Amino acid sequence: MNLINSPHTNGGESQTVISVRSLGVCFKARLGLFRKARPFWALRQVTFDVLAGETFGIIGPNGAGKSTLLRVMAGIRRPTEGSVESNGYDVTLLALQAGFLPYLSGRANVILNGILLGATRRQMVDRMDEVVDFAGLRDFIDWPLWSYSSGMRARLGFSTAYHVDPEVMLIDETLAAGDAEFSRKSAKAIRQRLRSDKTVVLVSHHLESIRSLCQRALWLENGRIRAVGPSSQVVEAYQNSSQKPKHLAVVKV
Amino acid sequence: MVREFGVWAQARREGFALAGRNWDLVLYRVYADLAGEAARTYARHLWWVLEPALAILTYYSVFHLILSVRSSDSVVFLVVGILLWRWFQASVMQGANSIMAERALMQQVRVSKLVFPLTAVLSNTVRFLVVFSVLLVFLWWRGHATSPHALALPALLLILFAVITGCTLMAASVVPFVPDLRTVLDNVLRLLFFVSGVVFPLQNIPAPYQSLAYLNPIAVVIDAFRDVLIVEKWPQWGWLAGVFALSLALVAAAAAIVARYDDVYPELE
Repeated sequence: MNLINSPHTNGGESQTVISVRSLGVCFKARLGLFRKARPFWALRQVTFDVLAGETFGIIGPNGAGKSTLLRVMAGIRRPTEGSVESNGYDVTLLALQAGFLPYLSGRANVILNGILLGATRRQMVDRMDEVVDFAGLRDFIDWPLWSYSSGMRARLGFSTAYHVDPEVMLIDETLAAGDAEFSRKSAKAIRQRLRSDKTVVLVSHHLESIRSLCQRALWLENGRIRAVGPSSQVVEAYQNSSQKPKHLAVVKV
Repeated sequence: MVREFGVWAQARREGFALAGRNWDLVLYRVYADLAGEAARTYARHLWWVLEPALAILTYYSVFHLILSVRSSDSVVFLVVGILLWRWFQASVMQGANSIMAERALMQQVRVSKLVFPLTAVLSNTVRFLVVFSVLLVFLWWRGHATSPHALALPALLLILFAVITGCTLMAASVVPFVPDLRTVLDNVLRLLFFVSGVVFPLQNIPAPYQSLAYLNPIAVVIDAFRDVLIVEKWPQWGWLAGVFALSLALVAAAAAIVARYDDVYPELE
C-alpha cells in the first residue's frame, strides 16, 4: 500500500470530527433458501480521520467504494466490521432531491426534503424564502413538482440541500446542478462554503477540485485505501498510478 | 472485530430531537400520501367514501342477497364490520410493504424506518375517520348510536388503533427479512376476514370453534363496536383491556425490532 501519511495524523491540533477505524462493508445477495450468498467486500480495513474545519477529499475509480464509504459515514449503512465515530457531530449526506414527490408543490417538497436531510419543519419554513430565491423559482414554488423541468427540479434540490446546512456535510459529486448559469452559481456557493470553517467530506472524480478545495484526501481503490494525506500529494500519486482509468481526468463536476 | 457504530449510538443519544424530526416527517408524509391520492383521480377525496361504499355493496349483494346471511339489521351490521375491517387490512397490507418500498430513499438519507409503517397507519386512520363520520350520520338516520353507550366509541377507536398499529409495525418489521411472508400475510388476512365476524355474526360459527373465534382480537373489537352502535349495550371491557394490553406489547416489540435493525433494512434486497 502506498501510504503517504499515517491516517491518524492530525498535526496534534485539530479536533477529530469523524474517526473511521478498520472499516469493512460486505454485501451479500439473497439467493434463496438453498443457495449460499457470495460475499463481496465493498470496503476493507479503511482507517482515517476527518478533522474539524477541513475539507477532506475522496478519490478513486468507479466501483472503488467511495459512495458506500459516504453512506456508512452518514449512518445510512452499517459497517460489517470496524467502526465509524462521529463524536457527537451531526453528519449529513447531501442527497439532492431525496424523497421529492411529483404531486406535491415545490414548497412542500422543500420542507419534505429538508426534514429528510436533517432539518426540522420549522427550520425549513424559516429558510423557505432563501431556498426559493436561490433556486430562482419564486413564481413556481406553489406549482406541483411534476410541472417542473428537470433543470428546475435540480435547482430546487440543490438549493434545499444547500440551505439545510448540517454541521458536517458529505458531498457526492454535487458541486454543481441545473443549467449552465445555475451550475456556476451553485458551484460558487458550495466553494465558498468549502473555504469556510465547515467540515466537509467531498467525493469527486474532478481531481482539480480535490486539489484546490481539499486540505487532505484519501485515494480508495477496490475498497481499500491506497493513500491518505495532503491532497496535492494524493492526487499526484493517483494520477501517476498506472491503474488510473484514462477518462477520469476529463470528468467535470 | 469491533461491532460498534458511532453514528447510530449518537442518533440514539439525540433522543427527542431525532424523534421530533421523525414526527415532522411522518406528518408530512401522511399529508403527501393523502394529497397525492386526491391528485391522481378525478373524484379526488370522494373516493374515501365511494370506495368503501362500493365494497359494502359488493359484500351486501353476495352475503345478504345471494347467500342469505342475516342478522338483526343486516345492512348496519355489514357496514360497521366492513369499515372497521378495511381500516385494519389496508393499514397492515400497506405497512407490510412500507419499509421495502422506500429502499431507494433509505439508501440516500438517514431516517428512522418506523416512519414508513406509521405513515401507512396514520394515512389510513385519516381516511377511516372521514368514512366513520359518514357512518355515524348513517347510523343516526337508521335510529342507532343514540344511547349513552355511544360514549364508549372513543375508547373503542383507541383500542382498534392500537391493534392496527401493533399488527402493522410487526408486519413491517418482519416482512423485509422474509419477503415471502407477504403472500402468507395476504392469506392470513383473508382467513381473519372470515373468522372476525366482519360479514356474518360469530354466533354463526359452529360451537366448538366459537370460543376460538373470540380469541381473535379483531373479532373482539368489531363485536364491541356492534354492541355499542347497534345492540346498544356496554362492551366487554375485560376482553378489550386484554386486547389493548396485547396491542401495546406488540407495538413495543415491533418498535424494538425496527430500532434494532434500523441500519440493516437499507441493505436488504
